[in-house]
Amino acid sequence: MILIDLLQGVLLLAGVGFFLVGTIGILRFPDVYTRVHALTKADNLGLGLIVFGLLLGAESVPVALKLLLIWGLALVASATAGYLVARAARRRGVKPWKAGSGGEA
Amino acid sequence: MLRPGAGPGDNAVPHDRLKIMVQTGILCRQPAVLDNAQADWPRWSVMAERRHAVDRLSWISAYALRLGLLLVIWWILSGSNEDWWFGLPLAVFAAAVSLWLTPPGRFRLRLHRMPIFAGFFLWQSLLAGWDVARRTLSPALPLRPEILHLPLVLPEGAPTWWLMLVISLLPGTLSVRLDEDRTLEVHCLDSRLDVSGSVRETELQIARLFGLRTRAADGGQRS
Amino acid sequence: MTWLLEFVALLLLVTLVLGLIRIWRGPTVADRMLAAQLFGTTGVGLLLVLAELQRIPALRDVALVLALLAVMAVLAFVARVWRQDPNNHHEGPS
Repeated sequence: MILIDLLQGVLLLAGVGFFLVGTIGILRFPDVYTRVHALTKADNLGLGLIVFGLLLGAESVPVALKLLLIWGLALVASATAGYLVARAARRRGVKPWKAGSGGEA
Repeated sequence: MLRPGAGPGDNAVPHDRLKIMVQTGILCRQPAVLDNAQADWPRWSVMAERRHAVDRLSWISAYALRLGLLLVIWWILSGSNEDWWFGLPLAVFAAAVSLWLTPPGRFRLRLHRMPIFAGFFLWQSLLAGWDVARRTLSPALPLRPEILHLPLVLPEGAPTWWLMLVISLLPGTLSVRLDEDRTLEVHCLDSRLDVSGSVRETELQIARLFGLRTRAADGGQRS
Repeated sequence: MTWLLEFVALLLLVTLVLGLIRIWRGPTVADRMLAAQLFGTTGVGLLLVLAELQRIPALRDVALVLALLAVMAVLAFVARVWRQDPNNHHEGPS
């Protein structure tokens, strides 16, 4: 039991860590496209780790499956949202930031 | 303008990657002159394993599949076995509506290939998160973003949608736009990464997931 | 275990609030649209942790609906942006 608790703790903390990374990413990264990268990948992994952490303490099979279903939905939602944001930015002519050129587009 | 035979663009094709692809037996390279695509992006062709006509049988099987899926979702959402008097009619109705809104398409997920794809996906998203974390937390902020134009192999419809969504969750890639000529604009975090290779690998995985196999398209028509 | 869940929930709230700085600063409309994505994932994570912490299973259903609504929000944003400028590429900050 202690081992499971420990694993759960590690997963939850790692998940929050990736959420933090995602937020730092959208604050530090230079343009919209790179920020979408940070938010999509880091937050989805963070949510996945938290879901797996909570899964270890789930009281029944439907609850565990519901957690997985929510993660799947959030994955699709986030990937779709990221794609739509990037495409809208591209259509509006927001120029991608280039290394070395400096400044925001 | 797809002619067999070595063309001027063929010199730049990375042959090591090519060999791996051919060995897997899923994709075969089409030795053709590339009209407008970059030379290091060989065209492949994908063809459906079974082209099933949209006949009555496929409607019935699609209905059964969707009904089953909805019942499972109801079971998950309700969390108990006592609400079926409401859930069952709802699922029957919802499956009919879904069939009306989106008729069964040409492509079918192979459920038995789902675990392999899930494994691939989980591992890749772990790598993606790690990659972003490394770049975010490094003081120098090592980014070299670039927009690449990659011609797609996967057929239109569900496989392409899967690809575009999955790519955004892979290390360093983000789908930006799909052009009419089936070229995908990919924004990558670091141009030093092998982006075209990983997109190609993802296409391969999705082709497998949908039970698609590929062949050389020299002179042949796409299915 | 409770203290850990509380800690995790608190940190998630902090990341959500810090993320709002980007939404506030922009500079482009597209940057602000990231809000929907931020709430869609961080909010879902927070709700799931709270459901476990406070023993309110219904919060999981809220999380599910939030994940769905996040896409709807982005769709609405994007549709609005398109209608404003269908094809001409003029610079974005508004």
